Amino acid sequence: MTEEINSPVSVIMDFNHHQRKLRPIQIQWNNRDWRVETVGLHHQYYCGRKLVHIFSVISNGMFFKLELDTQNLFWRLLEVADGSV
Amino acid sequence: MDPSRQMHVDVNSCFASIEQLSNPLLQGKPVAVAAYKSERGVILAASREAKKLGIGTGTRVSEARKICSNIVVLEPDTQKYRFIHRQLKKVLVRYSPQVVAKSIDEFAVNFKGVEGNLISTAKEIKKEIADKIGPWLTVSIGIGSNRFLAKTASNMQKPDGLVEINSDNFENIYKKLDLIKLNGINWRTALRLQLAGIENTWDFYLASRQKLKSIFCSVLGEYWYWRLRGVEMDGKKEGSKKSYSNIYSLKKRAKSKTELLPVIYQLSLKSGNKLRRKKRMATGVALWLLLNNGSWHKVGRVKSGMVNGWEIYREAIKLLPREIKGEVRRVVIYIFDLKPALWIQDDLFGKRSKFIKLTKTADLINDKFGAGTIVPGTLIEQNKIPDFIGFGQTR
Repeated sequence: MTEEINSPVSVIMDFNHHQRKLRPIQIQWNNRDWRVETVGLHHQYYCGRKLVHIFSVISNGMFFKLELDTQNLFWRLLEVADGSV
Repeated sequence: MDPSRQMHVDVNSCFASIEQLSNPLLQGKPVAVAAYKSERGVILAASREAKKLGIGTGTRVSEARKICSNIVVLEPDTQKYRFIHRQLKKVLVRYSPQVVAKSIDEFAVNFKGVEGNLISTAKEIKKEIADKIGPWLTVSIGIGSNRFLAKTASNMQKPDGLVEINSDNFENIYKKLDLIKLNGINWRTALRLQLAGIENTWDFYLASRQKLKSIFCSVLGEYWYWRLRGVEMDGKKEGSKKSYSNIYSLKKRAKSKTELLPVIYQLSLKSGNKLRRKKRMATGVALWLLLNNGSWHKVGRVKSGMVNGWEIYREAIKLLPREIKGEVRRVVIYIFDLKPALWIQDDLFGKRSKFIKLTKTADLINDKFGAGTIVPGTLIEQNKIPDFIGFGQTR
């Protein structure tokens, strides 16, 4: 079941300069901390000249789709799913 | 048959596999990406697990749910698919500079002038895709001496296949291959061939040029004769295309002209962007509507040619009927008589050049701030312009 959220969210991010990799490690949503276990896909696209990063992550059996707006560095939680119908 | 220098790369269950790649919770589960989640929505891609149950492209969501009640149905995420498409292309151009995207999930790679064994190259490509994009995304690779044989080979083993059709094995393959499995042979053509005594691909190969010419009643017979012998007949340059078309199936059937305008606008922009990229112009436009009670179409001509989506939109809406008699299910914009846009014919009072200048500026603003920032006045009340990837398209 997928639920569209589309609201601002707090995210802790990690940047590893050795691997040149960037990934969210913790999300604060619904008065709870969700530790990111897997990043399924990190993709980006341009909305006009604004670059938007999308992180599809798994935490505690839940799927989160996070958006990072590179213009203001704000995070949004786009959707949440539990992997069922 | 010449040595194999053509490769065809086909992503298995493309949209569904990408969804499973991005959401690992869906891996191993039946997943379908449908144009719409509603019962009447048509499935565009089914995951391997869903395919095993008999659910495939073209199945309705309602039918799929009857077969498998716990199938996960998702709507397309076009930006995600375009991103993976670009990543795949990045991988392929490392092996050969001649990569042609045939659609969002298919690539034709020409290895003429590039040294190396294609089987080992294909294995390296598979490994690199698994490492860089993700092991869940698999590709079927076909190798042959022309694009047709490479494509045929890629269809022979799915998922994660690797097949070469060459001078050593083509006889065995042709003897087992049904005519209908050949790319470009539909059931009607297969029937026509069978009536002439051609039962399978091997018979097709053995048929003389004269016989094939008489069956197809055109030069196509000759093309098939050479295609089956590994001669390149499909490597025509993009510039030789004489028309472009864009199709959109509506989520909710439209009953009025107002509901159709955003769709016509988006289809016109897509056609116009292609014209801009190819530096061409079109002098003909046709609008085709598929209704619940039949179909309707109208063709228009513009002497001076159309150079961008705004001009196509302006002409296309002129073609709309006064009243739509029925409910529209699908809209097609077809532009034809394409020519190089070497110069632009202005009208007597310079209105056209002003319009083109204005729309160029609008395109620049849309490129900077995102599609839909500036839209025609007729669409001001429409809140959403649809985004989609058409069959055989990459954008």
